[in-house]
Amino acid sequence: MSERLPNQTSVPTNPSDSEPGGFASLHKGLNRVIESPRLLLGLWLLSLFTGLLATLPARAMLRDVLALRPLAERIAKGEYDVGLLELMNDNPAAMAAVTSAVMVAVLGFFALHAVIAGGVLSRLSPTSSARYVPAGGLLGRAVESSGAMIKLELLFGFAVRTPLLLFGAAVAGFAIGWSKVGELSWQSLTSRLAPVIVLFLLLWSVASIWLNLARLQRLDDDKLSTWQAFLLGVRQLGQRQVLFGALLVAVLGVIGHGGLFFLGRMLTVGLDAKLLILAAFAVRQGLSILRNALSLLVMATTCELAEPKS
Amino acid sequence: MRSVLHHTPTHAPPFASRFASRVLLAALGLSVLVSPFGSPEAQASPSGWPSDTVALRVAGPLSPRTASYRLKARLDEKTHEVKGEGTLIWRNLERKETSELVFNLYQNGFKHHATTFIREAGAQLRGDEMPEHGFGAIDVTSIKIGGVEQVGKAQVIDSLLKLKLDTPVGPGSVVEIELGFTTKLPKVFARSGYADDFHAVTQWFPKIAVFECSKDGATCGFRAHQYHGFTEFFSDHGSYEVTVDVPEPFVVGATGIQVAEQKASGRKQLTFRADDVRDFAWFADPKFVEHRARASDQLGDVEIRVLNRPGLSSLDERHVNGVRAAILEGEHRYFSYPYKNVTVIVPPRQGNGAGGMEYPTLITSFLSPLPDGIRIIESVDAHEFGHQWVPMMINSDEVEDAWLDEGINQTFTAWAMDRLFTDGCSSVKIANFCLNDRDTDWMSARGVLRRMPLSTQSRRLSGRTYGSLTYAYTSLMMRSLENYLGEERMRRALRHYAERYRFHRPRQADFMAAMSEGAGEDLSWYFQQAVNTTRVADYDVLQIENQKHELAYGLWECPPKPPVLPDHVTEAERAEWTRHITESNEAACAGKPAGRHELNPPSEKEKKAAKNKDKPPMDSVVVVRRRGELIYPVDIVVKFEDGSQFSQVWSVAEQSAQPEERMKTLRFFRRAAVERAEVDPQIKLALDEKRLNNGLLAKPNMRPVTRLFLTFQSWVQTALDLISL
Repeated sequence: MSERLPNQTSVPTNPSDSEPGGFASLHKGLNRVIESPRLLLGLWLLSLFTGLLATLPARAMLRDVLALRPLAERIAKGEYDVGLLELMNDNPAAMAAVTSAVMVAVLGFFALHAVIAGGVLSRLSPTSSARYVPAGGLLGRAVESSGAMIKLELLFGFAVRTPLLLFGAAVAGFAIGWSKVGELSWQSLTSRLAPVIVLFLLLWSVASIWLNLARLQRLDDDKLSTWQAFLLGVRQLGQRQVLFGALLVAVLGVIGHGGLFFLGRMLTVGLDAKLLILAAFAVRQGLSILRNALSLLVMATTCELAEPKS
Repeated sequence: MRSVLHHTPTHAPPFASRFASRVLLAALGLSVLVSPFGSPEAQASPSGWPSDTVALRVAGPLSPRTASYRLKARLDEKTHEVKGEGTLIWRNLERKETSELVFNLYQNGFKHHATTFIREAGAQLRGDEMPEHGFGAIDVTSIKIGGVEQVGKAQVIDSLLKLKLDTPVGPGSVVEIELGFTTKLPKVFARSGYADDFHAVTQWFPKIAVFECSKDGATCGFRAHQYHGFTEFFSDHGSYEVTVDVPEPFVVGATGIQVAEQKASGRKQLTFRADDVRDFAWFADPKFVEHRARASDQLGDVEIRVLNRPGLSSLDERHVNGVRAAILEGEHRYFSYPYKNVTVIVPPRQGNGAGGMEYPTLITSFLSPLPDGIRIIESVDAHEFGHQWVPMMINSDEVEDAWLDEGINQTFTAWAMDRLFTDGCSSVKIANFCLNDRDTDWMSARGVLRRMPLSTQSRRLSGRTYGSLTYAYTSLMMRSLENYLGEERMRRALRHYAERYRFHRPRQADFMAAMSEGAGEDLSWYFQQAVNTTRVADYDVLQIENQKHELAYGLWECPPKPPVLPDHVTEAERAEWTRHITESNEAACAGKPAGRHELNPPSEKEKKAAKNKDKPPMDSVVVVRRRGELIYPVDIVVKFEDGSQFSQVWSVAEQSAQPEERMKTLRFFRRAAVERAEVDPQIKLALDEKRLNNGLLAKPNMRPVTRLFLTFQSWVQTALDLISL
């Protein structure tokens, strides 16, 4: 790389100085999340209302098609699943509207998250950090840093996420043997793919931590170019302690989100079948709060890992 | 070339011919046995005709054994060619002579781009493209009758070979034909061919077509079809003794049972015997991994041999389960499977085009990397095995009457799958998502507009229409019939058909007549609509109206006269209606002199008072509609807010009386309003194209809507939570 990197104070020059370690950072990160209930609440409400907004066309369709139909109850209880197929098959225009609305919401939400990332990371940073902002300053910092954050997001999309996806696909192909994909049973297919999927999710999480490290670099020094922040992020990730901490939170993130997914399924199946709507909604929102808390924990720990060690 | 016919008419058999026949038959080891399982023709078999039970679990012959073959075949695994020779013994069991013989050369369907098969199928079948340079063909090198070569006189037209005879074959005559041929297998496509070492040797020999006369005997001829794009094969039953010569490492699966094996010079010769079958297929591959199992029914055990791919032994039991379920279901619906064994072939991925096919005592399954919850392996195996009855024994013609074969068997598949999977999710069970075979058939059938009646010859249909109409629509048609007749009558009717036409050649009309006989009811009202027309089935509830019965107002004569009740008031409601109107009228006339009085509408206060005193009766209307043209007896169920219920059948007779009147209006006068109305709530009419409209609520019920909406919302929200990572 011909471009010279500025000498960043936040990058420890001696790995042995990197104290505290991953567990301590995780602990501090957890405290930061606990200390930021309004941030957690805000992010949860953001996903809740974006989700509601995105699915309003679906609600309208369901109301129009099912509200006066006795079969709806059997469909809702999971006793007549082919009814869902009839509904989707016979309402293609409504289905297209539903899909479009969800796509737009997902893209919008993704962009919004990129925009507010600077504010959220600043808020989750240690109070001793120069980049720290109190709750009231979050939005201001988000707006201030939005351009840089979006550029970083795009760079990561092209330089890291896309190659990672291709790499994942290639490894998956290697694991099962492309030419043999049709000759395997589901059991052997899943047993070969499971380690690849777990590895891919870990790498994806580590890549997200790398992105956050780069964001933090950029927040600390607004003179840095996107590319420089990107490289400083990876340099920081290369530090043994940081890498250990990143792997730790990545593992925690993958296990946590996987666990929440299965927990959610386990808890809501019975409630849905009995049409206990409020209870199912409460459970699902509780899980959403936990997912957001987990994401914040990863970010907060990353902030701790990025702090200069003394 | 000299054209000399050598045949053996039973009424005047030349000694030499008869001797030759007997020698051949003795070589086949056949003798006459009459089975109670057999058909009338079988029992009437002439003395000396092949008969054996070597491959059967019951005494044979079961069929007339019209066309019997003794063949030798040598597979060249390098050139993928099969060189064959042997003898065909063919009987003319019809009432008239024939001056020609017609053979099916099915492999010629793959000969070039302009064959009937390729033109109709478009060089693809069921999504599998025909491989490049994958052509196949069958060359008949010799046809000898009485030792005299006839091949020069043969005329090959696409996949048919016609041979004019110098001497006709008379009724009851037997003719021996010595055949020599070379079959170049295509690269696996449309049920046949090779892929690396895997060889699907099917439709590999010149197969004599079916000679038959019309029912009145006026016209006779060969019912011989070109190999068409979407339909399969048709032939007569017979006995087969086939010796296949393959490299020693090859594992062979074939029709019938193996009776001999010899090894020499790195090759092996395996001899198979099959009786009362209408075809012979064999598969060879050194990579086959064998798994053996048994199934038990009332006749004893059936040996199941699975020739699977390496590394897929975990799926062996799924194959076995599919076959077992079908064996038991077949015994329940038709009659016991009479053969000793069945072989299940699993082709390699490149050979999937040979998968999902049926041959006598042998079926091909296919590779599925899908989760166990998608129960397609069991379904394919049960389906292909179901074909052992239709058309392998109940010998319908798929080109002419495809639904008698594929459609009835699709119905059978759903029954067999219900037997195997009692959770009601015979097709898909993944997480909480559940579909059964009737659901998947319904989704398939309703996806295609009904523009052609089921009775249409399949070659006149497009690929997609063929599949949906022949398979799925028939299955729903049969299921609707079962729901009308009841399970036991349906079973009796189908069994009656099966027993009457086993080892016979039924046509559509035969099926309909036999079903009516078996059910003890003329079902032509149903078959005429469902088979011979494009009538669509769809009933819905169009309207529910609830109105409170108002207190009297307007011009009234006091004292009140007894009320005149509308015709639609049922006896049960008459007393209630009379009581209420009388009370209302008397209340309105209270204190008024005799004569006409103009009464004002009741005030809100009066209405409230009346409501508190006695819940006012509701004048309710429910309108049920037949949106489609197909007429079927449907239940109408109306539920009221007080929990009471009204049921009525909208009968075929009532609907047929005024077929253009598509609506039925029901009026109710009760103390409770109508809460919901449903037509055919149990979905007995499986053909109904739209089911959500089968019911209507008087007031919207948002609970299920909210439940579904919030579940969907939570999926989206979860995705949003995760993309923020």
